[in-house]
Amino acid sequence: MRKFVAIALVLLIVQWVAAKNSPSLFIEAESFQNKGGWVVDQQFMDLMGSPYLMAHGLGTPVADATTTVDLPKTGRYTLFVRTYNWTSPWTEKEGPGKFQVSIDGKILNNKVLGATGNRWEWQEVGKIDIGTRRVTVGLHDLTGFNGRCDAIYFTMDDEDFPPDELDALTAFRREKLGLPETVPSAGNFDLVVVGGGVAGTTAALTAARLGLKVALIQDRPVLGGNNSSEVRVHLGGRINLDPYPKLGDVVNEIAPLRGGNAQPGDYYEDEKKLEMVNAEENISLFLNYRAFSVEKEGNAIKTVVARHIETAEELSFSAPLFADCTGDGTVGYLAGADFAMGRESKADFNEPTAPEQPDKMTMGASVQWYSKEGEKHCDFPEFEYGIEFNDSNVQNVTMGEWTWETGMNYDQIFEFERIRDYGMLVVYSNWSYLKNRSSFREAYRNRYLEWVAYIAGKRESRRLIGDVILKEQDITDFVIYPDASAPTSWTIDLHYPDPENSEHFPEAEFKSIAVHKAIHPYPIPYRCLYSRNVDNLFMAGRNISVTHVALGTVRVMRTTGMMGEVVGMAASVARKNDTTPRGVYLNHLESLKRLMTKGAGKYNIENLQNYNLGGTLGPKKTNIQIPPYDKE
Amino acid sequence: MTKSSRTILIVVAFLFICGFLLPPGNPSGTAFPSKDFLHMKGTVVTHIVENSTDTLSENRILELQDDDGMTLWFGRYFYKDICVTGICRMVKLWIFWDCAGNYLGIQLDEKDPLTKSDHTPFEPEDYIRLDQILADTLSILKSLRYEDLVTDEITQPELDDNRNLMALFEVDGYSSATSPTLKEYVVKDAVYTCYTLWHTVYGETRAHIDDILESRIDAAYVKQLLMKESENHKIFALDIIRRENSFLSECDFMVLPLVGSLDRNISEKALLAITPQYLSSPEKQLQFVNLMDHALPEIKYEIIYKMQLVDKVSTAAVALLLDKFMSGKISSGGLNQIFKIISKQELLNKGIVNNREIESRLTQLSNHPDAYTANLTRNFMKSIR
Repeated sequence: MRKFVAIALVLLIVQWVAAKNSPSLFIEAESFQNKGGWVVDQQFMDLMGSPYLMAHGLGTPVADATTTVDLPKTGRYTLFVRTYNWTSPWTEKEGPGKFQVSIDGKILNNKVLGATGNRWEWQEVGKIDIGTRRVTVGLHDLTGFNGRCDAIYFTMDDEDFPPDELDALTAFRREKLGLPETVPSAGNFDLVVVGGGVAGTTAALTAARLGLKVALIQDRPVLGGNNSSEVRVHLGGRINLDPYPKLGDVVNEIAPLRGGNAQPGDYYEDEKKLEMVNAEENISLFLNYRAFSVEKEGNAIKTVVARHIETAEELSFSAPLFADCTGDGTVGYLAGADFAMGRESKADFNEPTAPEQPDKMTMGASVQWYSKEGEKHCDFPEFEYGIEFNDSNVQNVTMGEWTWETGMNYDQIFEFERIRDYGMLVVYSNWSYLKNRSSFREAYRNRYLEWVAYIAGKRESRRLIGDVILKEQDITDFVIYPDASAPTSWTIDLHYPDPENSEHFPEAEFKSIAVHKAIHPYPIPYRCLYSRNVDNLFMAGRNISVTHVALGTVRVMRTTGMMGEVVGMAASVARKNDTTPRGVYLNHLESLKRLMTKGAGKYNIENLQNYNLGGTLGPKKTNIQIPPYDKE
Repeated sequence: MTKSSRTILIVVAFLFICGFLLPPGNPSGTAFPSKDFLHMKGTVVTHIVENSTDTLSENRILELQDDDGMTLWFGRYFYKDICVTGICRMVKLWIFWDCAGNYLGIQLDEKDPLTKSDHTPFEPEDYIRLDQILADTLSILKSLRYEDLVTDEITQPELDDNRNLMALFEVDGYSSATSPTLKEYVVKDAVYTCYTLWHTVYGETRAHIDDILESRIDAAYVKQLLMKESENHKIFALDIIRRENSFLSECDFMVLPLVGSLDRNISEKALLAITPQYLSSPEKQLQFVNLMDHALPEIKYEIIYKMQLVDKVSTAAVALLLDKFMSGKISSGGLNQIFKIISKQELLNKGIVNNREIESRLTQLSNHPDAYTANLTRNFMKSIR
């Protein structure tokens, strides 16, 4: 028996060595030289291992993506493609995201990919004889309905199967891509800001203007996050309020002049945000890089490592201070920062609005969209993958903005691909019904989908815990802390599944309602803006230290932008005094207050931020001052 | 169908109205609530509403005109039954509309105020709230039916029991228990009153007034409206031009200056009246861009957005926009918007960035001391070339 096991082991090793050494080529789809009409989607790379290419054609097949590669040798290869049927959570039938692979323009084996599989997996295309080493590999979309391709693998060994399990796949990728063991350094900085949404952008601008050397890392090609042309949520809340009326000047400089959700891309003025950042010599901007790991020394982060979402190039960023502006609290999570997710119970903080029992429910993510009236009749394919529409449950609308919200009862991090996909699925299914089967389809005869987001606008996930956790009564009772900083002015605006939609689509609702509680503008304590257990980590954006209920007000983007300004200022104080974010509170609060009083605006721009300020303000209760923090 | 007759006498409208219209028992005609339409001076013109569906009310719409024959208001006296489950109470009041047919206000005798559930009269704040509700053209009341106003909690046996019915009557006047979702949209305990009056304001009288006004519209009338001092007249004129843009060419000398008005309502309406087609003329483009010198800050940017919609923008207009930026009339936040105009023109008319006038300005901007302006311009020039 022992002998048999030994022989089997030897055979396995020989096979592995042979496979390891057999001619093969691994191609990341996102690194294709010509992406045609395919888009790079990096949103779920922490879940499934990599960014991928997606055929986001709104029902019209997109142009081929192509790349030219050199195979190790000519001969017979087996070809694998990593993909799956993205509608599989809702239907057992073949999925709509169908595509094919071509070599030098010739479709391989007529094999259709993307129609099967209920999770990311390697699908075999078949065997092919290749006569020249240099070939052009192509992805040929068949439907325009979000077929997706992570990677392609050529191998000459019949026993060489690429791994599916995530850790093994990660090791496989690294080896095949030849990524170095030691990650090259992007440089040393005073502050590394991870996340280039509104909060991250203002944090970087402010810190840079105050003299810090800043790295700004953003995992998309544009800045602005939910306010970029990729998501198209307009800014909300008020700026330039007491007690620091200059807070908001930086927000004003990068802010679009026009409001409106789900409007044409121009409205969101991506170029303004980008050039404001480029104008600061102290900022090194790393677009298209996503942070995926951290190294710590004691309780502090030493470096953050980020990967390019197209080339897979990795860079490490070192600094004494970091700011987590990722929205998901990714850096804090990787560094072991304390965090909360879901709803606290009433018993936890005694909040009137909190539920009796804690749960995992969060606000959802929006896939926004709009249509346009064309000059002639246009078709839209039949699209029905598990969600059925009829005249009574269809949304008879020509656009969908924030109310198209999904995933409140799913994990906004670990199930986010499903959440985003459901958002797209209902848009297409609803539109298909309106165009093809509704009794009022004549009204939609010439209408076509102009834009559907594929970057989902997320409202809530992890909230990193700071020295203070802001709660509902702090805001409604106007409890002013000595470290009062950026003001929040939006209502406590919490979203729930739309009851009518739930009736039509139980457990699968995709519309939301908002429940508002008006507040008086309230300055958020600075101690909500740094981690309580990762010594050198700031936070700004929706991942700050608040309860679920308090998140309802602080989460709008003019407010998160002002948090970014405060973090930039606090970072400059910390750097100047060689201290931590907490040290700023304990020993240098007056310096921070001076900076907040002065503001960090640079250009004389009129405040035209007069759209979407929020509804009626609530009453200002008696100002309850908290006694100065006892340093002991 | 409306027949009109003009009362030649220029009198205090009030005298006329009191003498001829106020029903017996309402001799005082005292203005209530505070707005006093009936004492305004002018010429009263009477319009007869033929085949009125409102048989209880006066079939006359009065129009008060100023010395130039322009409308100050339209008014009609109403007798309205406000009923629930067969029990009705009559309210008597004037409703007024402005020169454009928009709701203007109500007026009633202070001895006969509107009342609520417990028969207490409306308080001043109730009238203010009612005014807001009646002015809201998109009120939720628009889409509701009479029966929607009662909550489901009231069951038929309760309604059959007279005692209970009276109890409900006491709870909420004519409305039974006000539907919880409706409470924020109506005067407390007066939901049926609000509902009835809202549908009266936007009912047949409004349609008659619209017909009267429609029959008067021509270029001369629009000009006359624009000459008036009041915001209402100007806005009505601008709305007409927006609907019927052929009037713009005859009135543009009066409309363009309104873009620079410090009254945002007027400046926004004036902007809406100016179409990209109107701006196809290079001279008009210059005139239009120059309006930003005195315009409200937000209107300056609206001028730029409007120019983005123009198919062909002249080189001179583009140069003028860049000059406005360089002279500080447009702040840093607006430069990218000007570049969008240039991009569009470059697509249609290759070479605009090489025009000497434009190129020299862009070169100047690409060397601007402020890095944002310089970078934005350099990247713009790179992208376009």
